Amino acid sequence: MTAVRRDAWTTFVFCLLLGGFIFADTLRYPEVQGQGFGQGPAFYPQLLAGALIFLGALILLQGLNSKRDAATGEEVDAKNRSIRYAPVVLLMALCLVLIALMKYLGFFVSGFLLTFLTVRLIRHSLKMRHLIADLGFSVGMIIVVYLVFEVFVGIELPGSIFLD
Amino acid sequence: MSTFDLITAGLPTFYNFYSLFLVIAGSVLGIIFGAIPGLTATMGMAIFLPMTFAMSDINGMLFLIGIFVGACYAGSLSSILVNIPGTPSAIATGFDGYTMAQKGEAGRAIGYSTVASALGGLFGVLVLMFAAPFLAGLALEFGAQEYTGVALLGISIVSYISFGSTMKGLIGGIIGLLLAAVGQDVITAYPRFVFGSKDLQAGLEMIPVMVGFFGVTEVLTKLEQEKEIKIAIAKIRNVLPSLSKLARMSPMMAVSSIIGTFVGAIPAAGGAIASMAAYGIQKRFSKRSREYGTGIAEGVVAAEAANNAAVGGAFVPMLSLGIPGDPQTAILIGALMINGLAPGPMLFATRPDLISTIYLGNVLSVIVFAVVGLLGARSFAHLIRVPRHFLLPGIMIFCIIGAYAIRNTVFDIWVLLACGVLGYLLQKIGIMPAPIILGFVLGPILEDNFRRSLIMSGGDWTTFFTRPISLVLLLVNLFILLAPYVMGFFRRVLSRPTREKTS
Repeated sequence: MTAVRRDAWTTFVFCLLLGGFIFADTLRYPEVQGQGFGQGPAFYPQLLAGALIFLGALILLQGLNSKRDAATGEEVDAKNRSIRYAPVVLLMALCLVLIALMKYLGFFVSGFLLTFLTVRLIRHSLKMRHLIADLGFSVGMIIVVYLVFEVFVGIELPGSIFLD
Repeated sequence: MSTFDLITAGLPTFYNFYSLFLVIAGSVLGIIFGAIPGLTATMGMAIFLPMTFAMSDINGMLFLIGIFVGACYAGSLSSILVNIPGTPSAIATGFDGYTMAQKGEAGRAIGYSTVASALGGLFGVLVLMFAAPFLAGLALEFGAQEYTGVALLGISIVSYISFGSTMKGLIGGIIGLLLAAVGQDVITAYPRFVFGSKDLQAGLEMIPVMVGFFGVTEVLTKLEQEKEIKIAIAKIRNVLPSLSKLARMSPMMAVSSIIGTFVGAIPAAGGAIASMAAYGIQKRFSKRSREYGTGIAEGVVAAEAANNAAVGGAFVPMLSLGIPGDPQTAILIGALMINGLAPGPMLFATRPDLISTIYLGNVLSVIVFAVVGLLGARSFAHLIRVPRHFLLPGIMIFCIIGAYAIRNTVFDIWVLLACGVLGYLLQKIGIMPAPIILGFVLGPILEDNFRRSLIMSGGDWTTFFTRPISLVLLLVNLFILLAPYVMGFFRRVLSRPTREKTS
């Protein structure tokens, strides 16, 4: 399958799923009587969902008819090999865990951990001087955040339930 | 109120040291964001938007305008020094700027870039001062049908011009419109797509969505790239440009500024297109046409005057119609909305002080970057070397706080992450974050006016075609959406006889 076709199929499936989901969800919305056409809460999202599916179908048709981009799936795979998805997944996992724990740890502890672990994740170095620099940066970052947002802007950042 | 009164109404703001400080701080932050490749004006504005909660509406705008204007200028620094444009609008600057740097004229290239940026920026603001009130006067005649047309115009131009495939741009715009539809329906107040969540009842907050799509998506995209590239920075000497040479270049600077302002005023066109267009036109009509690209100051001046003039142009539709022309003005509209202000023609009557402050804030930001650029070019060059293992976690933390700060709720951090991941995945299939955000900002305007038009006409769709301005706007929309296909068709038809002859 060419890269263009694969891309077109992906876009179409995405549009179809999102549009279908919107139609399914809005079907249970109440009808509004007596105020003229298009006044129910479902009208506008359904119009957008219809447009989305229509555009997705057009992209699919365009992709299936396209002869210009002859790149094969294998060529695209080779290009994609230089992209590393592991750090992206790891960062998101870190965010999920630390934000979920924010209620217990408070912003400053979870923010410090997130900063420090993300720096380590990107840097990939086990040298002691790098470790110290990363620790210093993470602590410094949290101090800056505290001064700017809590002291200057006056935002109360989440505290730990253990300290309350 | 006369144009002169409108320009001077905000002067007392600048008697306050704090307001002046915010413009300077914003401009310097903007220069930092613009100079570091990968960080953009949009990201800087989105990240620092929460800081404006502690400021008055006027001071908040001044701070954000400083970032916007400073970043637009500073994109040229990395373009000249390492041939990596700090912002998309500095791509054309590198054509001659980097070649000048390789010849040992990096300082001079920065000098010309700074002066051209400043003069272009001032020209853009001057046009803004006269064009925006005029357009706002016309917009007072607009009804719901016309606003529907204008909002659709914003989305279709955005989809067409700047983000690759028109259809994918439109899909992005629709996704933004759908995100804006979350929460209570504008007419019936029925909760839509809330799935039983109390947090979703009031709809998605603008900041987590914006910061998610612009900030987190960018962090994830940078994170997936292979190791950091080590870059060699050219040495900077003799920053001050020659005055006689500048005087000789003044007509071309004026032409570039006019092109930049005009292109900037077209929704979604922005500085990148403005600078490329100005560079292309100057190259085409210059006596030194063949020398463009070989390291001449004219190339730098042509691009920089245009992309900074485009900033003033971008404010025209934002202030007069309430329509964001680009992601940066979308953020400024968001900042106004947070303060309970609706940008558009009425703002000229109700808040002339704010309009004037926006004009003068732009002027002051230009002065700040000109001074900082000429005096501190050497120091800012070092910013290009900031390692990404410190940069990306720092941005991530600021994004999280930005999302949290708007309502002090962790729910908005989840929205931020969801939008960041969605933006990252959609980018993989060619749907870029900018149309999504513009759709999200335009969503309430479009839905409200579209449905009110239908209520007023009793469900008669011809209401959009029977009013002259509305009809013109819809025809322009249709033209924009069909133009690439019509042009493609004619190109194929015209090339057919040639191909037949050759075969």
